[in-house]
Amino acid sequence: MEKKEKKEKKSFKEFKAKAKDALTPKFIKKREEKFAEEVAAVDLSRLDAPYNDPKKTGNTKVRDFSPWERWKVFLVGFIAVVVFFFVWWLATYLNSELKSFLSNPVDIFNALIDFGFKPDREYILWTHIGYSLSRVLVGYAIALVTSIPIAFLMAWYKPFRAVLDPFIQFLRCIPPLAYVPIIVVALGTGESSKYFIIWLACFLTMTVTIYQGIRNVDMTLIKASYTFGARDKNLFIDVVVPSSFPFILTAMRLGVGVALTTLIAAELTGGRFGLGAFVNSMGNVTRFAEAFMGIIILGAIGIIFDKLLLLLERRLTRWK
Amino acid sequence: MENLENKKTIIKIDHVRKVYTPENRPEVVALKDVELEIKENEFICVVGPSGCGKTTLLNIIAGLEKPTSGKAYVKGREIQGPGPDRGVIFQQYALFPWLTVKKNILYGTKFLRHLEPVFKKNKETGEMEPVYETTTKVDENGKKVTEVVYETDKDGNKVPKQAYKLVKYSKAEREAITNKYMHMVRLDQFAHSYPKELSGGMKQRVAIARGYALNSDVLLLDEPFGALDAQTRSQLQEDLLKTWETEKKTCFFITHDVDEAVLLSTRVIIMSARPGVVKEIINIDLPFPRSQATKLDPKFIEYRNHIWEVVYKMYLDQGDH
Repeated sequence: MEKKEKKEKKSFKEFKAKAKDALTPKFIKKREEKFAEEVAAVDLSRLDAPYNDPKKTGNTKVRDFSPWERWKVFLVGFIAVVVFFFVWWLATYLNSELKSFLSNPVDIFNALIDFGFKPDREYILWTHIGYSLSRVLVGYAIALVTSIPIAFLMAWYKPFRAVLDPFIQFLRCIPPLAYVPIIVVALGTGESSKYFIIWLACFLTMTVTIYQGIRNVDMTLIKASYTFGARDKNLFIDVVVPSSFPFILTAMRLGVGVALTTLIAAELTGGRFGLGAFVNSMGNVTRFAEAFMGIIILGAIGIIFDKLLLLLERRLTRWK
Repeated sequence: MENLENKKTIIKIDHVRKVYTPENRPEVVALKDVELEIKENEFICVVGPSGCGKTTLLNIIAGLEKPTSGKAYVKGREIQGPGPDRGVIFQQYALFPWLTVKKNILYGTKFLRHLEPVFKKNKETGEMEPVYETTTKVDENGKKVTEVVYETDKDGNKVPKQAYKLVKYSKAEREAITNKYMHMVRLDQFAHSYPKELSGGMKQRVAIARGYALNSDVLLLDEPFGALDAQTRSQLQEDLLKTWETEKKTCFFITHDVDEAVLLSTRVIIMSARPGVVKEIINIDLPFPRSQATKLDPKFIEYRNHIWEVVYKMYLDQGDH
C-alpha cells in the first residue's frame, strides 16, 4: 500500500517537472529538432518501393479501355458459334440418346441440302421461306405505317391516349398464341389471319416504343422553337419528328424481332406453307433435324434484317 | 452615366406576381410584386440566391410562362407568348442535335419576317407601281368607300402612305445572316459539324450566334456560361462584351457569378428569395470598352464587394443551405 502511494507521488513530481519544462522555448526547440531527426531518418524510398515495383503490385500492364476493333468482335463471335456447333455435334456423337431430340449439326446441314438444293424435293424450302417472308413483311409494313401515326396521336392528344392506353397495355402482355383460335374463326385460315397476328404483335410493341420516344422530346428544344416564332404545326415537323426518329428506328428493329417470333403462332392458323408451319409439322412427326433447320433459318433471317436496320440507323442518325 | 430617364423603355414589368401551386405541396411565391423598367441598350444582370425567381422572371419576359397577376410589356405591347422579338439563350444550349451548326442557326431564322413595301404591276404601262394603304369607310348613302391614307413626310408635304406587308426572308437572305453570325462566333470551320462534336463553349457560341441571328432588340440569357469552365467563360464574356458594343441590344442576363454580373452589365439587379423580390438595383458606372482587365479597377472591386455582401447575407439569412 505505502509503496504504491510513494510511487504515485514520485510520478506526479516527475510529471510536474516535465510540464514545467514543456512550455519553455528551449524544450519546444529540442522537441522540434528531435522530430526533424526522426523525419530525416525515415527512408522514403522504401515507402515508394512496393508501389513502383510492378511485380509486387500486379500492375504489369497499362489498362486498355480502347474498344475492340470490329473484325475482332466478329471473329470472336464466329469462333464461339463454331465451338458451339462442334460441342453440339460431339455431344450427340458420343450419346445417341441426346441425338434423338437434339438432332445433330451434320443432319441439319444434310436436311438443308435435301430441302433446299435437291430437285427431288422441288426446292420446297424456298417456297416455305417465300411464304413466311411475305407474311412477315406485309404484317410488319402495315404495323409500321399504322403505329407511327397512332403513337404521335397518343403523344399529342390526351383524350386519344386515355382511350387507347389501357387497351394497348392490356393486349401487350398477352402472347399472340392465345388468340389464334379466335382469329381463325374470325378471319379464316387464309393469309389475312397471318397478317393480322403479325400486325397486332408488331403494332403493340412499336406503338409503345415510338410513343415513349415522342414523350421524351427535349422541352428546351420546343421552348427554343417557340422563341424563334414557330407554331404548333411547325413544331411537329421540325422538332417532334426528328427527335423521335431514333426511337422509330429502334421500334423498327424491335418490330422485326416480334414479327419473326410471332410467325410460328401466325402459321398455326393453318396452311401448308411457311417456315412456322414447316417447323410445326416436322416437330410433330419428331423429325427434329428438319425442325432445327427451320428454326436456324428463322434466326438467320432475323439477324439479316436486324443488321440491315442497324446499317440504316447508322446512316440516318449520325448526329446521335 | 447616361441619363436613363431620356431613354426608351423596352421591357416593363408591372407588379408581376407568380405563384406555383404544386400538387400536395404548399404553394411557392416565386415572384412577389416585381416592378422593373429596362431601357434601350441596357445590359441588365440579375443575381440572387437560387430560388429567387430569376429564371421565372426571364421566362415571363420570354413569354414562356404567364404571370399569376400583373403584366409584362415589351416595347409597349403586352407579352402574350414567345416570339422572335426576344431572343433567348438557354443554359443547356438548346441546340438541335440532328442539325449541323449552320443549319441550327439557319433554323433560328426560319420563321423571321420583315416588312416590305408592296408594289403592283400596272397593266397598261407594265411598270411596277407602289401600293398605298387604304381605309374603308361607309358614307352617308350607306355605300362602302375606299380611301387612300395620307401622311406628312419630313418636308411637310401630304403624301400617300406606302403599304407594307410581312414577308419571310428568302433562303439567300437567311444564308447571309447565318454566315455573318457564324463568322462572328468564329465557327466557320465547324459549319457542318453536329453539336455532339463540339465542346461546351462552342455549343454556347452557336446558341449565341443563333440568338443574334434573330436580330431582335432584346436578348434574354439564362445563365449561359454557368456550365462552362473558367477559361472558356472569361473568353465568352469578352466576346459578348464586344458584340454588345457593336450591336447594341437590350440584354437581360441571369447569373450566379457576381464578378460576371459587374463585368458585363450597366445595371445589376439583386433579387432575394422566398418570396422573390427586387432587393436592390445598382448602376455599374464603369467605362466601356471593358475586358477582363476591368476586374482590376478599384471601382469594380467596390461594386463586387458590395454585391457580394448583399447576396451573401441573404444566403446566410435563408438558412437552408
